[in-house]
Amino acid sequence: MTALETLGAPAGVPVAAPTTTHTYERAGVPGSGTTRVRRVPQLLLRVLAPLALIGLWQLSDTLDWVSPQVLPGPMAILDAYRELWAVGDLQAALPISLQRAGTGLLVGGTAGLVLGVVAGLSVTAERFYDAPLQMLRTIPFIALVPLFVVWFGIGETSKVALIIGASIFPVYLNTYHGIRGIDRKLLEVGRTFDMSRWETIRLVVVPLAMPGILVGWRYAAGAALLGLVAAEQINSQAGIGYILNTANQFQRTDIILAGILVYAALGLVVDVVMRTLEHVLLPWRATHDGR
Amino acid sequence: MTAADTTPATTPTTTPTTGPAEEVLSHEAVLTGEPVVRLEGLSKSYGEQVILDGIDLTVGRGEFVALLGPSGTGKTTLLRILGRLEDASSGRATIAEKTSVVFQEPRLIQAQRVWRNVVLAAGRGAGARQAAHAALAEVGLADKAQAWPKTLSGGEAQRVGLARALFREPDLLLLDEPFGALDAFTRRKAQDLVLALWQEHQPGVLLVTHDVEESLLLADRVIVLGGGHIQADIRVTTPRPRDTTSPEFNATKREVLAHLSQVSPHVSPDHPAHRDYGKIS
Repeated sequence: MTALETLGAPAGVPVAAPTTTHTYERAGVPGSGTTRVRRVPQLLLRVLAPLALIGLWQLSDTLDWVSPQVLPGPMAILDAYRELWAVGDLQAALPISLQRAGTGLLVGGTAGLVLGVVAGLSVTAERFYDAPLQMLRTIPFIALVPLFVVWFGIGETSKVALIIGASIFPVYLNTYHGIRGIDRKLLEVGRTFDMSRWETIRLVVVPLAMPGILVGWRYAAGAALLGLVAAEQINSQAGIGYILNTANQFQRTDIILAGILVYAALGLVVDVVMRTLEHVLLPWRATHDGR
Repeated sequence: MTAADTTPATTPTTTPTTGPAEEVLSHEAVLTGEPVVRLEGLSKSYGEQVILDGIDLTVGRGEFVALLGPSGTGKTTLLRILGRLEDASSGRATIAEKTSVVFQEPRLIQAQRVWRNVVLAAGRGAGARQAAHAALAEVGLADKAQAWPKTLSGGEAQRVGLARALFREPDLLLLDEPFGALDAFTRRKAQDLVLALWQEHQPGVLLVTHDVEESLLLADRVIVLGGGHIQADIRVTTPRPRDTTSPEFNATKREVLAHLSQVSPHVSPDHPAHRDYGKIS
């Protein structure tokens, strides 16, 4: 007698193991209605929470839950932008801030790139300056503000210097690791096929280290923005930081919030730009992205 | 031949090498062409550990040599010395200048398109792309020239590796277990391809493999490596394509397995399961 029979199945009748049957249907053909109908709720779901938050924020303003001195509503901030635009402050401030951050990022990032490539390729160079750079890296760069004011004064130089300092290390570290992370076996390919050192760098090392290098630049762009915010706290005569400082003196919370949101928007733009750059420069990586 | 006979005055020196004699000579030349590898007392050790101990080996152009031996007997080390990826500790090695390697894994550069991987440093001009296409067509991958290596299957990637190796028309082609990771069917097709390309281009070939049957299917000579020495150097004279079920084939196989059983205690020449003995250890 088998176990199945003891459980009550009639003898001689084969008992099927428990199974479930799934029926699969092809998802909608692109262009047909089905896919679109599915995507819309997805998008709705994504924007729902932020929209609700903004709605609640506006409601708290309209119903006077919070004093406008503490937290003005979204509409009040829009008014602040209109005011800044009308006076011409915003148009004047944005290019100045962007130039500070851009110059610092370019100089610092390039320095980090060169240092990283050289250290990645040469053990001698790595031994020479990696340790001191790693020590410097542990200093939170914002702590350098007072020192830089002493060294470079309160003008543009100290501001850009701070942003340079913030941008060097992310690029340096990621470039270095990107190069060191390349499989030695691939470098052997270069050797067996008689490639010169320069050809190996150009055709193998740099293309394969590119993902790491770009991650470095992305982090550096974020750090440059942070550096910009910190630098513009120092006696700014122009730029977004100047708007914030002035608003601070006049207790204009709406303008302060408007300025903070400009910084946030800059961060968002930088991220989008860097992602696009990665897509353009790393087409070989995109192939495994699921669609 | 007839021309030489009727006008002996013009070319008197060619008379002895005309007709069938010349054919025999050229056949000889295929088997023992000018050497592309000549090793004399080649040794390699890492500290105390001796990997290769006084290897003498000559491989001629157009010769297909398979290198068999248990894991850790220095097959790959020997191949790496021949590929100039490692230096020997002592001895002499004369190796053809134009040497290519096909590695165990395809080792393609993911960041370069397939045709760029084939060309590598060999050229940059418009001609390079054309030549890469031709090389890819030879391995049946002309349509993959623009693809990224990531999109290739294992067998395709290995064929790109083969196209890359043949692109520079090597005098010596080193194959380091290139079929190890392929499934049985793909492996068989890749073996046929290697054989066809070898017959077409006639480089000297050194194939490192674990698979006795594969070595007997492809090579002119099977060399068994053990304890740092060449234990056996067996000529395989069966004409190609070879029938793995023929008595002749199996007789040679037993001979090779007998040699292997001496260098590796786990291999029994009588045990059918030890055909691919490399997987046992």
